[in-house]
Amino acid sequence: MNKLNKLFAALLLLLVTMFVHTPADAEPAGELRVGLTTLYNQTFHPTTASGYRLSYMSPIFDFIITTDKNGEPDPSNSLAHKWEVSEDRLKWTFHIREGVKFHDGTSLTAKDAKFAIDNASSKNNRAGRKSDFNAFVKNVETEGDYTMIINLNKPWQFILYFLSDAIGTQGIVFPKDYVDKHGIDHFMKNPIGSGPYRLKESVARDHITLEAAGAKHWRVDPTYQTITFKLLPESGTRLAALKTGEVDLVQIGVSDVSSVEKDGFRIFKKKNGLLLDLSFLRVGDKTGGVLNDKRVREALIKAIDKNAIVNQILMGNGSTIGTTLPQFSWAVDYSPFPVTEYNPDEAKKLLAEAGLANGFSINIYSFVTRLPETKLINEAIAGYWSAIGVEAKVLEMAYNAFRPVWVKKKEVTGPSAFLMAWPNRTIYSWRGKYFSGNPFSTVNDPELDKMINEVEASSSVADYKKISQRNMKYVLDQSFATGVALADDLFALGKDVPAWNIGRNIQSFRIEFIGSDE
Amino acid sequence: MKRFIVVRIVQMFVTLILLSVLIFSLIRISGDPAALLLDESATEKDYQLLRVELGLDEPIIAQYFKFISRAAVGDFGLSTNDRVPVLISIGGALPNTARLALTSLVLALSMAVPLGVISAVKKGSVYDHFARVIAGLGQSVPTFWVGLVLIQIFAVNFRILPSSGMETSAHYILPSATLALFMMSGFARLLRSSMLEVLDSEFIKLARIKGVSESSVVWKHALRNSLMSVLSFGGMYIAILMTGTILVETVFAWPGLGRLAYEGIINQDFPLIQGVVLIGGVIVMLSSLLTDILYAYLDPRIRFSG
Amino acid sequence: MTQPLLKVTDLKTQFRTKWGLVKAVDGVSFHVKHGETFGIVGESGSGKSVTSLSIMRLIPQPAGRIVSGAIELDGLNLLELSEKEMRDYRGGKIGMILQDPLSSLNPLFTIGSQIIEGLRIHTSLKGRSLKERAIDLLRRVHIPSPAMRMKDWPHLLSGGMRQRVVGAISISCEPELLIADEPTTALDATIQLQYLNLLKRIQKETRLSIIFVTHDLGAVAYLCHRAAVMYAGRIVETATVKDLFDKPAHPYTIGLLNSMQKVEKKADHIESIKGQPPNLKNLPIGCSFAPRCDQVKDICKEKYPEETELGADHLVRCWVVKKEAVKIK
Repeated sequence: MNKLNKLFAALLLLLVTMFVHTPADAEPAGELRVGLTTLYNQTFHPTTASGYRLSYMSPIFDFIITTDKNGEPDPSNSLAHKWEVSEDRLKWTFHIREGVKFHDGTSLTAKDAKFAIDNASSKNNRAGRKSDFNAFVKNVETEGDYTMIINLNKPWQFILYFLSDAIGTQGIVFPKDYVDKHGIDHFMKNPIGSGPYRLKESVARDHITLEAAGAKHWRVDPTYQTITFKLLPESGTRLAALKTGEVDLVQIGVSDVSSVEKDGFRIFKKKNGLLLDLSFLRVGDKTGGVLNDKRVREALIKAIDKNAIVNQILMGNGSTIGTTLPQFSWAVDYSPFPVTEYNPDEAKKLLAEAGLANGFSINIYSFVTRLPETKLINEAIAGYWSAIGVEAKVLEMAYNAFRPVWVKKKEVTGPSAFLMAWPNRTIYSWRGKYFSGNPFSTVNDPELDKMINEVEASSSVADYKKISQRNMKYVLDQSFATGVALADDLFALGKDVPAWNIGRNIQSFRIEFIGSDE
Repeated sequence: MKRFIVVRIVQMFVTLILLSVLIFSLIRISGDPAALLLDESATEKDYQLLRVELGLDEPIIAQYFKFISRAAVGDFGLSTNDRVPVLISIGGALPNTARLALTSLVLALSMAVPLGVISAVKKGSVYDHFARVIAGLGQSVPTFWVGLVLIQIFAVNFRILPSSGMETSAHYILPSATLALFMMSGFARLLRSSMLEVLDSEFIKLARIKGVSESSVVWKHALRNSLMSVLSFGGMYIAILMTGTILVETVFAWPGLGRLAYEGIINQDFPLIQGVVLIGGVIVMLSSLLTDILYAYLDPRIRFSG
Repeated sequence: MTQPLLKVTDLKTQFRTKWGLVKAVDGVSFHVKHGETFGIVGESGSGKSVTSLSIMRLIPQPAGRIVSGAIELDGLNLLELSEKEMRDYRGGKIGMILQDPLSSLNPLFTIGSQIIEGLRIHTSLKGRSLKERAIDLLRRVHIPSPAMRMKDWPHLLSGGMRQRVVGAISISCEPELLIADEPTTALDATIQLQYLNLLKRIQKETRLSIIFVTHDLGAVAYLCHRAAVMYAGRIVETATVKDLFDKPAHPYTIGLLNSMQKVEKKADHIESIKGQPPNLKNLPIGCSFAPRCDQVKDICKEKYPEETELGADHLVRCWVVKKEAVKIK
């Protein structure tokens, strides 16, 4: 009897393990449905449209460089499995992985990688970074099928990031022969990549469905048979779809957290996914007015209680920050820049010294890009400023209405500031942000221009880091801008969706990694 | 009748030209797609090049004539955002909106007719008050909110209907109900007041004098006349319907013309906005003309005048 | 004496309005003999139209209500019928012509279909014979090329023609009683006479009884055998047309006759009777006409006059007349 029991138990155990144990080479199965706030435009050419399409582009394609979870280039996951740079840092040689095939069975070679960079440099690039490619890249050559050489006009410290999944879609390699044969228009609708998933269906303004391209993939094995990205622009509808099980994964806002948790769904955070920074407009210009006085800028920054903003408006879903660049930027160490202290008394004193004891008035251009709470934060900042006697007027507008003001095509009406939510990525362009006369620059300061020229002329990474560090200190000392907070990107997960490594500094949600054990 | 149609079509063209001038200049006054599409690291030169590429460097009059002469032959250009021909995007979105609008219209009428008619017949009764409250609610409660509440009840709580999208016929129920509720209120109110007027008329008295049953008096003699007055507001309702779909399409993630217009505005996609507004305008005006022709056809007083 | 076709006894019809109860018809009694044309004369608001609608039981609901009385057609009290039974009488045994020919036909239905609709309800005719009957009716009311007119829409016809169509509808099911409620008021003077002749001829041909409601004494003289004069919801005098014109008894009747002679053209408001038409919401206790009567006595202001019989078929309600009649007796 006892023996029989044992035997029975053993059999049962065997049976259970047979069914429960999932072998490492499991076939892709099931469907993952993701609810997104926007699908941008549903064309699949890497550079004819927004670089923000990463969430559904990165499963279809591979990048010349793939970054790891810390945002560092990861040769083991990149099409370029090895690279070298010349002594003068002007010639980069990339060794392209052999044996990678596009979904139509053709091989991915160096000429396809060159094609990607040529596209990024072309005037048709709408994915962004065109200006950088044009400024730095002299030409691209191939040597044999698997070697690509990029010759630069001047040293480009960021080159690896511009070829990676860290900042957009321009690092994507797509089949040159296929595009040459069928034309760009055909490719936009019928893309072929080399990624773990391929496009199955795209219904404009409704959904995009991907399917596993095969059981195995050199970068990551597909977990699901299909992944569907569903457009759900309205937040109420998005949450409803999660609750009904129509989607398994949605982006949510800070205010949704409690209701989602109450309904038994898990919250998944991409820590510090967004950087909020406050810039003054036209500093150093005639229209900068009182903002041209450093003491005034310092006073305005010191009047802001960043802790309160993180704790009360972001409800703890984020952290305060000292720099105006990303916390984990490759270029700038975060640690030496402490968060500016909240000191309204000191702020008042500074204003008095500047002869503005009776205050002045300032506009806050307020718009929402990625974070709905931006509006509330702007209201809070207006409140802090009025507490030190500055009359702050919040100008609500759409982001697209603000852009012409930002790029100096529309004048400001007096001293102005704005809060921008940036995707928290590795690279920011010193030149774009602070160089006098550049469209997006907020500062006109010859001293800083000189420093930016120096950072661009740096001949080594170590040099670059050192000069960047110095530049950032100068920007902060001058109170040209201030980081306000880092906000978490929030997701709600349906019951069957496991947490995954969403990475740190990329805009992609790395959807293709859900369910992989990486 | 022929003259009427010709006059109306001429009017339509004039209106369209005015509309095109209006939308063309409005978007150019209010926005700058080059500023929106510009790279963060771009230089002033890049900005100017982008303007050339988008054709925004030419004098505005020249831009307009280029646009209108191409639009005249049905070419609205490529979307600056995704480079898809505007006409193709509209062609994809329009049937979705049309299906939603038609379903809602049918639903709205099938709710409004009994509501309005019985409300008029039983004027002052409990039913009348009830019906008027329902109709009043439909007009005063924001469509957006109604949509979300319906989703909460039928999709989230009872799990009997999908919350969004348009894959199956079940997906039509909530969005068209939302839109129908909004449309129904107007119909029901108009129908009620027009029924009250008609029921008081001499020919209704004559029908009763003939011994016609009360149901036939109401549903045949009176309703047909009242529906004519609803139909005479047809053009206005089509415009209201179009605005309603924009809201409903956002709530229910419905890939229609309203979403397209919204995206066009967010992206400052001039060719797309121009295309959607003009084609939307043509559709509203054409369907308004069609309802007027239908009205004229159904009303012998107009059909056989002169 | 044979039983009259229609006998109305003490009919009271009231309306509830915002301003209070309106006694539109307040105790009206009269009868209509077989083959007789009976006129009801009065100013607007006298209750003559409400009386005719009461007979059809088409008082606008729910404001209006027949409070009491009896309306007997061939001895059967119409007020006791169910709504469904009553519908058989409407357009069947009782036909009616309304005042406004321009609005009494449904604009969205052809002439033919509006005639046929009634025939379908009240007769057993079907298909072709329905159509033939309708054409025949149009012919009888002197509509030219009646077969073609069948498919016409009401708005294509003149007012007079439309009123003829309404006439055709009213007699389509061979009614015993035809109520014509101011059928000529809205017509041109020349057309009026034609229409009266038409009614007269129809009456002769079919031997039906007609209640002719009008404010036009001339039309009464031309068309009617007997007539009742209504004032403020009551009949003040009933007589043969001959008596009414030769020996009018009630001061109001006399006033009407005088004004008719003075003013050749018809007007809704008869000016030669002094004072204002009665306010139905606030009638005096005694005789309603007392405030305007030049022979008014004390009793007139205290008590409503009893009925005085002045001769065969001549009834009047007036204290002055009653006193004189008693004296003569």
